[in-house]
Amino acid sequence: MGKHKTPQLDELKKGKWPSFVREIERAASKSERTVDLLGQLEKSYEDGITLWKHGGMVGVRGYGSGVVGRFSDVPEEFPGVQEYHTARVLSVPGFFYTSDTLRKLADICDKYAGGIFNFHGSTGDIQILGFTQAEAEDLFQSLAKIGFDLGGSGSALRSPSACVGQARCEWACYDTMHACREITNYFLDEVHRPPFYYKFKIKFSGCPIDCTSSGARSDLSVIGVWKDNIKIDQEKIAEYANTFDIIKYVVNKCPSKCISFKEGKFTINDKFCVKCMHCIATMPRALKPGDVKGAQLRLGAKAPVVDGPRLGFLLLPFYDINKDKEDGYSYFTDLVQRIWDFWDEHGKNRERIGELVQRFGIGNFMEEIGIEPHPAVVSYPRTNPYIKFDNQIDKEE
Amino acid sequence: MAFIEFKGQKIEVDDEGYIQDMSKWTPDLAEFLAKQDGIELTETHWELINWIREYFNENQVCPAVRLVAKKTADLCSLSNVKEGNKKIYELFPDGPARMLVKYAGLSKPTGCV
Ligand code: SF4
Ligand code: SF4
Repeated sequence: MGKHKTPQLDELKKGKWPSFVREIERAASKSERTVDLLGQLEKSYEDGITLWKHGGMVGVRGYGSGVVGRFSDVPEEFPGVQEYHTARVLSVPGFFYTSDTLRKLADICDKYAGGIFNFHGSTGDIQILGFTQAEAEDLFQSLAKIGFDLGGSGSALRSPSACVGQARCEWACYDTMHACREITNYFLDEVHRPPFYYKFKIKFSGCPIDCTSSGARSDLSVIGVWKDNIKIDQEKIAEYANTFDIIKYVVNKCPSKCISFKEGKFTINDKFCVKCMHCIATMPRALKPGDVKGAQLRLGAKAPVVDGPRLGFLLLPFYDINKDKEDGYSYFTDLVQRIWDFWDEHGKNRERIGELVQRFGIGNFMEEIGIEPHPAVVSYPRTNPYIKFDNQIDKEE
Repeated sequence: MAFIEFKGQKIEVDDEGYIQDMSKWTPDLAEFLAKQDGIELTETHWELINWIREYFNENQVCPAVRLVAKKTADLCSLSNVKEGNKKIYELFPDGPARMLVKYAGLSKPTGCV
């Protein structure tokens, strides 16, 4: 790419696969600063370290989040990337865009930034890369003109995100896109003006396949489930039986061992089904989620930073989100507010909600936010012999 | 390193205008920095600036943004922290980290982005 020699990056262009280096070079053919991005990247491969400083105080008027600062550690060498900030832009739930919208976004990205964007960052945002603080306001205003707004960063409610849900997926147990949009709009203040001790993420998946990985990556995950029985079409089962070994690939792989397949009859003891989706995903034409659909809420998942990674715990095994939709998600927003009030009351700086609940005890937490514990949320039932049944003892006396 | 000229003194600041040597801070400097962003410091601004400086002296770190919101809600007799948080952006439109901390002469807050 002319200005900088980039032998290591060139390696990453070999082969017939897409290459991010090739994409950056295409952007660099129109953007002077992005030429320096290539140079700096080559140097960081040589030196074996990243050459970005962490964070930085950048942003637009009235917002405390949405712009992530990226400053080069070696601006003398690569002046184009002295400031090369990232804007997080709220995506459209389900990630549907018209080609016209994409062109307009691309034009903004060429005009005010380094000509590169991310669809989408792991946060679920559209990310526009490579602008300076001086350009931030104009970039933001032109995004607003075509109906886009900034997302969350820092100690904010991070941009909620959803799987494609009912728009294209037969397994969706609720309207993920609608829920995501409405709830984002309701909590927009918390997205734009960081009010917390640390970040908070909400993700919506329509079924336990969990395409947004919400169960591992969001403080509050909303995962579609059903309450009744998995629907079985025995004829279709018979068709599958002709093509592969159902015992080996479905029955034996059921984590709760609740399926039987005897004399051509496929049955599920649904009481023990943990809704892992394995059987349904393996034989989608024969099996379908039940009809009584809703969502479960899990709380407290997070990535490793500060206190190690964790999965969420089951807060509500079944929440009737389809009914709550008719009430404008008021149950959900009230519950979230109570969780935040609890966090506010007891949290510490940079402590995620999952860590706080562990420190405080799940029982105490549930009592404070006013949720009755449900037997289904106990991870290992009947293993502790030291249980005192006050009421029963009273009765005997 | 960049410098700003103030009352005939050269004061060292980082790329984003945070002063590097906290002992160079004076109330006049705060007024001066705010004016550059087009902001007149009112009594409420000053209460927050003084409070955050005290907090920093005690703890050697800036308070969590949650505490700033609480403090603002208290100072302005607002009903809750949420309102306090909104009020901060009326007082400091670029947000507490980019304005309040800078005018108070404290070191740039670090944190997760
Ligand atoms: S999470 Fe489930 S409902 Fe959503 S897209 Fe994936 S498979 Fe479909
Ligand atoms: S969904 Fe999973 S747990 Fe339930 S029956 Fe199918 S394989 Fe078993």
